[in-house]
Amino acid sequence: MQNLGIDNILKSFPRLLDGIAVTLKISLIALVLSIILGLILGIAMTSRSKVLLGVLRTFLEAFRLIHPLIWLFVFFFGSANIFHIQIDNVAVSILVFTLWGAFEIGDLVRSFITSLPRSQYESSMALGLSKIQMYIFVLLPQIIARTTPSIVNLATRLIKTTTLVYLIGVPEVLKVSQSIIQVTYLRNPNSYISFTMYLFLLIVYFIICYPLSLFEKYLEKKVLA
Amino acid sequence: MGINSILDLVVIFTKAALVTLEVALASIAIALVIGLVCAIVLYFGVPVLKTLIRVYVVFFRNTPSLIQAYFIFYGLPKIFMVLDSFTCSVIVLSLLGGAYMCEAIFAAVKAISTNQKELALAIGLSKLDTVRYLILPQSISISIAAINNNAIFLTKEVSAMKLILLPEIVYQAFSIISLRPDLIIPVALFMVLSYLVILIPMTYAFSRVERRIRYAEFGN
Repeated sequence: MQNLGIDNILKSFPRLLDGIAVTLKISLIALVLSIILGLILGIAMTSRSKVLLGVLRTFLEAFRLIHPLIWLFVFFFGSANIFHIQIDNVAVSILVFTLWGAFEIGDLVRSFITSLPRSQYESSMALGLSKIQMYIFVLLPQIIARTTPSIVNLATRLIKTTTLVYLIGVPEVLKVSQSIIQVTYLRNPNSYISFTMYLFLLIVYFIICYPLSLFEKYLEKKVLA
Repeated sequence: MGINSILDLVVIFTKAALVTLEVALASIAIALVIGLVCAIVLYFGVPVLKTLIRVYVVFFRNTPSLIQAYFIFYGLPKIFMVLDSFTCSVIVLSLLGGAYMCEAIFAAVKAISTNQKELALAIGLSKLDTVRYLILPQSISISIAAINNNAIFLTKEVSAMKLILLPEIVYQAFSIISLRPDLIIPVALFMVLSYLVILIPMTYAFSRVERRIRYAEFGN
């Protein structure tokens, strides 16, 4: 049992919990911000301006095509190298994942708005609603109902992808566990800690993400019914 | 690493892109096989295997690929065997992709109407023939779009294997930048270019395949 390193994990459990809290904090803030920004972007993507559409489309494809890993490095080291400013690494992570999520949600919102029957616009006009009133009272409730399953799906993907932020030095759970692994090896080179620790992390992430994906399935059924 | 001209960058990134492509294609192929086999097992509802596959799919879909890679690369050698980064990347991505493919293909299998399944039974097709003539062609043609999406996702996910030291595009880019910080802009351009060179033909080829299969099914 000594070799498995379970005692080390138990001993450093509070630190691991702190790490998990950092992961969840980044994902949650990024999720909330990307929902708000995503709604705005989605509505902007239905505009008729060719220039605006072109710019947004390019960003959307860029964020889809290029792995968030690269974006993290670009924003973190790029800002230091090119503009000579130092941004806090947690802020950079939130920024990158917010943009990533916002464009994903934006595209969902756009495809939903364009799939709505024209009669909805016409009848809201006939009712004398202004454009802003139409968006708030007619479209928004439908958009929220329809995109919620995908937003929950995005939340699980966000939580899974935020493991990458340890690369720019954010003290999240993977970073913490790697330092625990190193210390353990220093004391006991024969320890199986890396096996136990990574298995533990897999289980932790599973415990966080699995309920969310069950919730997503449930919501999907509800929306379709 | 001496980099004197643009040609050196071209050579390095061509090699890196080939590594990415190799890992991606190998894991897409294996993932497809895993997905198909798992979906068929789920369809027949083989008692113990069914549960095992459910657990496998759910587990791989709900954990970060990075930690899966770390677990297999750094964790398993302790109790099992040492794997090199290429094998390890292919294993991780195949298992991850297999879980996604299984989900996509099984959803398609479920979408085949029960009528057809009963008809297959009525005309006395064996289980093997049912799979071969009924399940396989239709489930593939229904799920082809999802399969393509998963394939693109896997190709992009190869860059996360940088962290288990696979010498692919992102790995090379960062090792060059760490030695020659002045080259950051050309290297970044080459990195994006290499991905475009891989992904654009890939999406094009996939959309061709998709259209072909649609044509075979619906004739339009």
